[in-house]
Amino acid sequence: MTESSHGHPGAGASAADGVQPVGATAEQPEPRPRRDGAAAGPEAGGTITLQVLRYRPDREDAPYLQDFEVPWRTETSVLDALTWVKDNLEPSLTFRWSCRMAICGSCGFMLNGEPKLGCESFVRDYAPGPLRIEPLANHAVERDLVVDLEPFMASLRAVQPYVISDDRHPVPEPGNRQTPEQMVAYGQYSQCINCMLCYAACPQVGLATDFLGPAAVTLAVRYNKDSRDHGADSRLPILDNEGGIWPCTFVGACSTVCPKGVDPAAAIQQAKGATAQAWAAEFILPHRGEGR
Amino acid sequence: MSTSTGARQEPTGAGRTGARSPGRMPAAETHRRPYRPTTKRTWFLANREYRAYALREVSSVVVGFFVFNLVVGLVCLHRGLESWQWWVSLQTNPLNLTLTVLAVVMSLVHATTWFQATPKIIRIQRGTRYVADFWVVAQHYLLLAVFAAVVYFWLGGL
Repeated sequence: MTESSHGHPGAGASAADGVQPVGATAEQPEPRPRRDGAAAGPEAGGTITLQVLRYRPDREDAPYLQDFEVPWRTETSVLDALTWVKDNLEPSLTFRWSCRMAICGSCGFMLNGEPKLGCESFVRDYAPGPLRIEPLANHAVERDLVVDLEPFMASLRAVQPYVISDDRHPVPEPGNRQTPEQMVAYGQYSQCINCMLCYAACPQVGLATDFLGPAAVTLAVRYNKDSRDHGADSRLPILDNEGGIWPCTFVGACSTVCPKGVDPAAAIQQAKGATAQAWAAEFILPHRGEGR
Repeated sequence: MSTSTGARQEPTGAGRTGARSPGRMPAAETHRRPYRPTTKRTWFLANREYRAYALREVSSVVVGFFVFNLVVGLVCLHRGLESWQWWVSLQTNPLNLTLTVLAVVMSLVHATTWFQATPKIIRIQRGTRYVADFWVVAQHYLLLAVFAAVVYFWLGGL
């Protein structure tokens, strides 16, 4: 297995950093049993060049692409391929992953410029390559494929993503109950796994840095539509804000890339409608006639 | 989210000084040096979806120019016969004709793309299901047809 650098003068030093060159016909990744238990289809495989973005803040001032030749088979996911690189070629390669089944939302990368989950993207779909793997766009890069999560976490915290009850609406006995209709009202928006692919797809996240972003607004809408929740008034100032829902220009890419079909674009447009209604209602009946 | 390595350093800057648990060790000096990529000015050309979005947005600019032309016509009408005739002759200018044809095309682009987007905004729940997107889009075309018919007959069938 060979390892080469791409576009960075310092990359050639990696062999001296403990990288062990491995023959191109060396170990193939062990095939995993298919999840559906069905017989494997026509076997495909070979090698593919991964062009992985590297950024080691202690060594480089700017990211660069590094090439890795990786063996693949029909069932090799992009995450498998990265893990193979880490195990066999470049132990310092840094990336996030956890569940390997599109639940945890950790392994979001830009694959040939598109935001995807590494665990549910297969190398076979990018053969013969090369496959460019970069960290999620519109995020500060901490190291290699790891991005800074803190702005996203701050957005999530800001929208109060939990059921809020108040004195006027105490939790009834024997507890909150919902009809199937009430669950459907917010169900789609509760499927978000916080993978941040929508943030990587949204140009407004890159342009308007204070934008709450698709997932955070979706989460706010998810709770606003929950019959058990009474926090819409509390979330309104967060959403109806210069950096709230209004930077969204309805590009719609957030919904296209969502691996769970959550449709954040729909959530944001509905939030705009609800916010405009609240604004108009304030003229007709200030504070809903309840005073403050 | 968990990480595959322990490479990520905990930030120790402003706002992160409070320890989350009593047993947590004091934060060491940070070695973070995040690289912040910038968005290119030509981002809207990057992929097909962005280009479609850019076309939808720019279509309103062309329609805006057409409306501006109509406003100029109204002003000329107000100023008198000579001014009005100048504006009428201006309409046969090849540049103006091109603009008008482009405005028609862009009006169609603008209307159809927005009609196509309406199911995301208007979601009508019926029990545990939502009204299909097709019907939401169809009602916009129906309303457009009704509106066009009203205007047509209001103007005396031209």
